[in-house]
Amino acid sequence: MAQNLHINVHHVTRVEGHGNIVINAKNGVLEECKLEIVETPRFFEAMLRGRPYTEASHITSRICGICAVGHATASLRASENALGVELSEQTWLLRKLIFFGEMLDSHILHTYMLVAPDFFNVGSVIPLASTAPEVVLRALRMKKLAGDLCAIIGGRHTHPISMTVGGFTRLPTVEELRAIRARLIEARKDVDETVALFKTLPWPQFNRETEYVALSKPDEYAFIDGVITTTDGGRYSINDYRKVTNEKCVPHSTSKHTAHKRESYMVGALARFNVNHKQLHPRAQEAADALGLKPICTNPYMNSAAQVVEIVHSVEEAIKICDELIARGIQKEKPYQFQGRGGTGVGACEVPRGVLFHNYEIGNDGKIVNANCIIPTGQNLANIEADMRALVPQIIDQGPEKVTLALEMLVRAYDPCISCSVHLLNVKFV
Amino acid sequence: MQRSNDATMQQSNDATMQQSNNPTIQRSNNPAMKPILILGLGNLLQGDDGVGCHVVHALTQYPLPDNIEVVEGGTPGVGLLNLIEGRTRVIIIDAAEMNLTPGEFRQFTADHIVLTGAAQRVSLHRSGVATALALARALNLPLPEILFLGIQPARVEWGTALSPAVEAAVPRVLAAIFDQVSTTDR
Repeated sequence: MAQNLHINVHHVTRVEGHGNIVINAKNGVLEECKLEIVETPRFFEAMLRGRPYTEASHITSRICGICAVGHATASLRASENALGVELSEQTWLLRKLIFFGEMLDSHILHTYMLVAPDFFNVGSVIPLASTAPEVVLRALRMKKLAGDLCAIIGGRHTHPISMTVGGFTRLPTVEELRAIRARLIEARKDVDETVALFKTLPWPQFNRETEYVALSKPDEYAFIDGVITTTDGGRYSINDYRKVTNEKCVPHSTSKHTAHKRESYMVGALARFNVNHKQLHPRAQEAADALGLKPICTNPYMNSAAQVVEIVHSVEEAIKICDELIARGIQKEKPYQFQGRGGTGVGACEVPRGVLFHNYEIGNDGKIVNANCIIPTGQNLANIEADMRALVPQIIDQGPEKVTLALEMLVRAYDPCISCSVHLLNVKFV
Repeated sequence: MQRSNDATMQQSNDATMQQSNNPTIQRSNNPAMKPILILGLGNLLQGDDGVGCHVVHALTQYPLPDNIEVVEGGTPGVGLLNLIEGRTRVIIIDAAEMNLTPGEFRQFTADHIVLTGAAQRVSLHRSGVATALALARALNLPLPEILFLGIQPARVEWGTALSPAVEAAVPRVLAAIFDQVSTTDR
């Protein structure tokens, strides 16, 4: 039977930022399939030019409220690589600890408040609070713990103050670390209940062969630094990020698209799982098994399941880091002093949504000459469209309402951070 | 800032909230937490929207009893629930679009702040006091006694300064707050 379908979801709900889903099919043939990104450009790369390098992490953390630590970290690694700054073991531990705090905050927000409502057939977290209050309370409780962890290291819940090139301007006390460690241990109950809850959800079944891109390191599940690794066999130094991203502009999006070996690739929790699953903490491995997540998983809807696995991993790794810091004690360190010689550097880290690159050129006067930021969501956009193109013909018989929901859930599964990813300015000459 | 098309001020029917097993967000309550919280909300970068924060800045110039904590809350969204949990009494100061003359202010209890219409479609980026309270009610969270002090803005636009009318209101708002905290001995 001939199928005509016109779907235009204006400003998809329960994603960060503004995007429209546009589908047009005539007689069962998909004519138009777009994720239009309409968010206004942010101008951060331009803003950095001429600013002292010490400001870069503070300015760029404002790109986002939920991945502020991620941007700050990538920014600091870019400056540190440009200037040849070595980090102490203590700094590495603290950087990872606050990174896990943000990973938890973001994944809990996404899985519980943005994704779960669809599975409970409600529009948002407020009706969910009436029908399943213990679920929402758990989410708020876990989010508070995650935020407090970030605040102990970074100075406040959002937009870290104490992170700086070479280290920290304020260190946590051992007492603060003991207290947060105790809360993390207690949170294992909530984590287990999270796995139990998401285990019961009917994940949509859709698979498409895809290239997955993530950072990897030899001795740990990579979040900060590493080698860019793809499931199509790509391995690149982070300095060669452009060989993977190959950014290009497209007319219907204020964010660019990227591609490597195929027409698109995917980054994020599922990509990290597919590339680095062997390095997950054992409890996280168990969670993956419980959720039916097996490598290589080619179902984009399972990105949220991979986030649940990373929630487990992040809590366990955060406890280990607290243990180590408490055993070592906290030492004051000499701050980095600029040596009067600039350079170019790339910082890369796996923020909640995928691999993020910051690339700075710093002049001999310590001012930023040039900056480039490539955001994970921007790297996912072409892949989302490729998924939509493959999915729509498979489900077109289900009618517009079901197809619309399936597409909205698909976009939500990627956990897009649309405001972060927008760069392109639409200029019309008159 | 609260907009009158987001929340509606209703006559309270004094509905009692059922509390089952004392639900909380925070498992271990901080025993050192002060019982009375004066909380200034708003965005300091958006002109009069930040008046709540300006008021609490001014408040810190004055000596206050030991049982009162003053916090600049900014724009916490549903994080508001974390700020007010565990308190006996909370006074929230914020800009509120009430179609009054700029600088005028009104005092409301929490019962009068209700989510209606379009505001029920929750955006976690724009959750205001009404959304946070709706969530608390839906969760049967025990709420402190809340007094909301809404100040009519003149202009909400980029800038760090208050408009003259709203700036002039700050001393009167402070007087109202002192009045509130001195009439009760908690």
